[in-house]
Formats: sequence, C-alpha cells, structure tokens
Amino acid sequence: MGSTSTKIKLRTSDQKVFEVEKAVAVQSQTIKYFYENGCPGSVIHVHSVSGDILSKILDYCKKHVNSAAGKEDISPEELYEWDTNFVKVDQNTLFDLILAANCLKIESLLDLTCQTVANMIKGKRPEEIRTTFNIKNDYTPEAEEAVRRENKWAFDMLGV
Amino acid sequence: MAEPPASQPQTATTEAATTKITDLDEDSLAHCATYLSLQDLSNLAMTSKFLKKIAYSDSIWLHRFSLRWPLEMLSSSSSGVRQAYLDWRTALHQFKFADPFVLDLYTEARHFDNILLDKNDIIFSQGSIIRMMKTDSFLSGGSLVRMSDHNARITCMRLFPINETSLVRSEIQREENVLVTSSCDHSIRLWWKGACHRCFRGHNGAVSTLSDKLLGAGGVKVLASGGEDGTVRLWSLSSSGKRGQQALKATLYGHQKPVSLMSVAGHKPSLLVTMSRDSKVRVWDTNTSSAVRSSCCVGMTSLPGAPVDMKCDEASLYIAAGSSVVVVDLRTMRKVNTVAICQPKLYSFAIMPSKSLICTGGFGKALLWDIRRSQEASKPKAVTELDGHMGSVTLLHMDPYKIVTGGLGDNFVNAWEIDTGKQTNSLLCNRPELGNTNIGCSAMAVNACRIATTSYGESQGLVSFRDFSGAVRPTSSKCNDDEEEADVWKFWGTQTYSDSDGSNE
Repeated sequence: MGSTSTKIKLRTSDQKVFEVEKAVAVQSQTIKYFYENGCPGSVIHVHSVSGDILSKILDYCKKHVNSAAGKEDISPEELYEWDTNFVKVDQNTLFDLILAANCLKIESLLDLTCQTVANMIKGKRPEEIRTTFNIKNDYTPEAEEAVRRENKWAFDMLGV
Repeated sequence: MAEPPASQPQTATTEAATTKITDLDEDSLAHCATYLSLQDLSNLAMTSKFLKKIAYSDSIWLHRFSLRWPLEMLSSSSSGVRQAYLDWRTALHQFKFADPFVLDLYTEARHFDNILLDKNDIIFSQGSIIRMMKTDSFLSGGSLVRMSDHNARITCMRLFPINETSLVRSEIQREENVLVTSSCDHSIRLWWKGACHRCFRGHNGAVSTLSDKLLGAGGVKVLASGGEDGTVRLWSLSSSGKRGQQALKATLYGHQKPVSLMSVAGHKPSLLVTMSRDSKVRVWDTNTSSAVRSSCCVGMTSLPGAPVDMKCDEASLYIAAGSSVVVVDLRTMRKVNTVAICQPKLYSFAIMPSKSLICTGGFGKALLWDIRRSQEASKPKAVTELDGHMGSVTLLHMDPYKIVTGGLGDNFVNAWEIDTGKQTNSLLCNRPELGNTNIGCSAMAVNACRIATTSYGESQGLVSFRDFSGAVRPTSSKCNDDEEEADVWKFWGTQTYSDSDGSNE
C-alpha cells in the first residue's frame, strides 16, 4: 500500500486536530470526498463531531482497515467480539456515534450502532422502551388509545 | 480552502449536553428500524409522537415493502407506504392472490375426521391414524410422521402451548405446541414431535371432546375431556409418568347424555362450560376443592334443538343449537338474547368478538350477523349473506380479516372479506385422481395466510395445503372463477407427494 504514509488532518467541533493515515480516514465517504476534491495538505473540518467521538471512530476504522489489510492477525470472530465491546458504551456516546457515522458516511459503523439500538428496543413493550431511553409519553390518553388500535394488527396474528 | 461547507448543520455536542434517542435524525432511526420486527415497530410507535412519526415513515415501509413484494407493485397511494404495505398484508390474509405455494399430499381413501395447522406442520387424522407433515422441509425430502397409538377413531384434536404442560425442558421450546387427542378407544393422548408422551385413561366409553383451552391460571394447567359416559373429567398435564395414572384429578357427574361440546370461559379461566347431546348446558367451577365433585356445577341451562357448537368470549357464552345462536351471561346464567336465526337448520358457527360479528353456516350460504344490532331488534337480521355455496356449510373459519366456508357438498372452499362479505377467492379441494366421489371438502384448517383442506374419493384421499404468505400475483379485481383457478393449477403446477400405503413411515 503505497499511500499508507499519506496523512490527512482533521479538525473537530471542539477544535482538536487529528493527523490520520489516509487509508483509515477514507473509511469515511465524506472525508474521502473532501480529500479528493480539496487542496492537498489542507485541514478538513468535521464540524459535527467532537474530539472524543472522532477518536473512538478512528479506533474503529483503524481496527477494520488493519484487519482487512492483514496487518493485524484477527479472526472474523475476534473482530465481531471487538465490535461488540466497541458499542458497549453509554447511550449518549452511542447516539453520538450514530450521528457521526451517518454524517461521515461510514456504513459498517452505522450498521453496527443502529443494530445495537435496535437490540435495545426488541421485545420490549412501549412503557419499557420509554424507560430504556428516558422518553416522555406525550400522548393524550385518547391519542394513545388510537395509536394502540392502529397497531393492533401486529399482535392479533402470528407471522407475516 | 478545503473547509467543507457541506457539513451537516447539526449542533456540536458539548460536554454538558447529552444526546438522546430523540436527537437522532430520521435517517438514522429508520436505519435502526430495519432490524426490528413488525411488533417491535408497533411498540415503538406507541411510545411517543416523535417515534410514531419515525415508525410510520415512508422510508421504513418502503424497505419493508421491497423485501416482500416487487416495488413496482406499490401503487402511488396518498395514504402512504405504510398503509400500502398493510393493505397488501390484509390482501394476503384474505387469500386475494392467484399464486399461493401449493402442496398436495395423497393419502388413503378414507374420511378425514380432524385437521390442524400448527406453525410448520399439518396434522390430520383418518380413523385411528394421525399423520403429521412438515410444510417447511417438505420440498427437501420432507417428513411425514405417522402416529398410530390410538386403537379407534380420533374424535378431537387440540394444540396447547408446551410451556403450559410439564413437558417443557428449555427456553427454546417455549413457542412450540403439544398435540392432545381424544379417541373412541376411551383414551386421551398427548403428543410431542410425533411421539406419544402421555396416555390418560379413565372414561368408561369413547372420549368425545376436549376443552378448547387449558383450565386454570398460572402454573398448573388442567385439561378437560367429555365422554360418551356422560362424565366430564379433569386431567393434570403436569403429572409425570407415561401412563398418566395419577393424572385424573376429578370426575364431574351430572350430564345424563354423552358430552359433546366444551369451552373454557374467558373472564375466569377456572370455569368450564359443557354441553351434552340433549342440549343441556352445565357450568363447572373447577377450582372448587370439594370432595363431592358434582357440587362444583355452578350453573345450568338448556336449549331447544340439537347442539351444533359453543364458544365463550369473556363472560358471554355463545351457543349454537337447532336453528339459532343464543348468548348466555355466565355470571347470571340468563339468556341475554338470540343473535342469529338460521332456518331451517344451523350447520356451523364462528364468532369474532373484536368485530362484534358472528357467522352461521346454513344450506347453500353462510350468514353474517352483527351482535350489537341484534340487541336492539327483537328479531335478529343478518347483515350480509355469503351466498353461492353448494350444499350445507359445515366448515367455517373466521379471523380478523376473513371468513372461509366449506362443506362436503362443494368442491371449493370460499374466502370472503370479513368487513364487506365480498368473496375473495375460491379454492379447489378435490381432484379427478381421487376417484369417483361426491365429497367436496371434508375437513379444513386455516391459520393466518395458510389453509389446508381435505377430500377423498374411491381411490385416494388428498390433503391440499396452500400458503399465501409469499404470494405476489393478485387475483383479478373480480373474484376469480373456476376457470381461472384451473389455469393457475396448470401454470404453476403442484408439488405432489404420494403417501403410498404407509410404506416409508
């Protein structure tokens, strides 16, 4: 890989500057676009991502780039395990990761984090979902009854 | 320079602010939702207005739609993609498609007494023999299990969740059902995975019927059976031991004639309603721990005409006998009203309390009745006629989407929209290969988008299974007629399997 030595500079919302290997940085389709369409050597601003989150994301990208390039001897199972541990974070961080993955267009990270949120929803009743995510029930009793009726079909028969 | 002006206008997260699920954009949440089931998605919609907006969004339902049907089938409807998806789903449940997955099983030429559809199995009985066929593994060789422990005709078959019996061993089996059968050989048998696990003996005659649900709340559940000996017997399914000697919990005396029907009350799961051939009805509280078991009879009534069927909904008991359906309040044992009169004779009936509807099978047609309307009028009047049947409608299925009707005199079973009574499909049940016959449909089971029917002739019997859940080709807007049905058969062919006299069993 001839371009491994190329570095890309990234500046975060809290004005932290990261110098990242190109192969790692271009895991983000957004950064790739700005790199390829901007002046070489210039700093790319990632306005919507904080330093803490970007640092985590770069960890993720590094792990996946290294494993794909064979630089690191890691089995698919081990990588899966690493991913599982990677998303064992508080909700605040998890949602920030989703927002950042979406904005930076890192598809595999978006899949991973969204699946994690989905797993937190699966099999839960509405009140349990509210508790899990600290969501306020803003329905009036009538509106709640109406939406309950609208969704009854999903529960009155198995399958399909 | 390379300052990216195109960055999203999202506010940067500062140290103090925390990001909540409601801070996620619609795209990201829609992405999360792709991993959810329809039930999960519905639960999400019920949590808050914001999440409902997400759960109902077009992008989510477009994805769901594309997984099931070609997207070009999505009509540009103003009510949104979710509604379009639900409309298609409803159409599947109503059998409005011409290309169901079809499976034909040829078996011996004999009357079919019972048929059930479990999740992946078709279970049916002919005389004393039960057969179980896996619908999912059938194409890959499949398996047909023959269960022949009974010595005489099987009178009733029921499925109960395995976790309500003592057979449960691990979490994985939670969703499965056990099969319970009663027979003229005086016994009741409990089956799981094609093998008999329990045999209950005690009746002094043929066992004619089994309770539609298990009795009791919580842990220990009880099965009720009714016999030609006029007794009602209660069996503990949690007793161990293959012979089930200790399983008989109580014998309830009181009926003078064979017990032919039974149903468990909805409002109080210890209440059992039984009806004998002389149309005498008894209600038993099976919780009463009295030594004199006859004293646990807590209510009685009787009706004119031969018993046809009986079903409980909450505290209401619907009894079809003779030519009418009567509602009895189980708390007072008073007849509340007559909800249907079907002259000259009633052959079958079904109830759909969530829609306040009942359906009765008569000669040449079925009738749909509104329960609420009959409370106002002195004489009940049918709201819709499901007309165009040959012979008596003895087989009737009702669910939130459809009604399916069939009978011995008609080669077709018919499906109808529940809300309008419009016919949606007509399915052929027999074939010329069965040999000379006057038999149309002898037994029928419907489960969501799946239906199984049986027929037989002089030379062969046939179980015909159709699954509409993967269908994509709608029937023409008009109801398809017999000719079109015949085309479908030729065009799509059928997977057939011949059960040649039990050779591979």
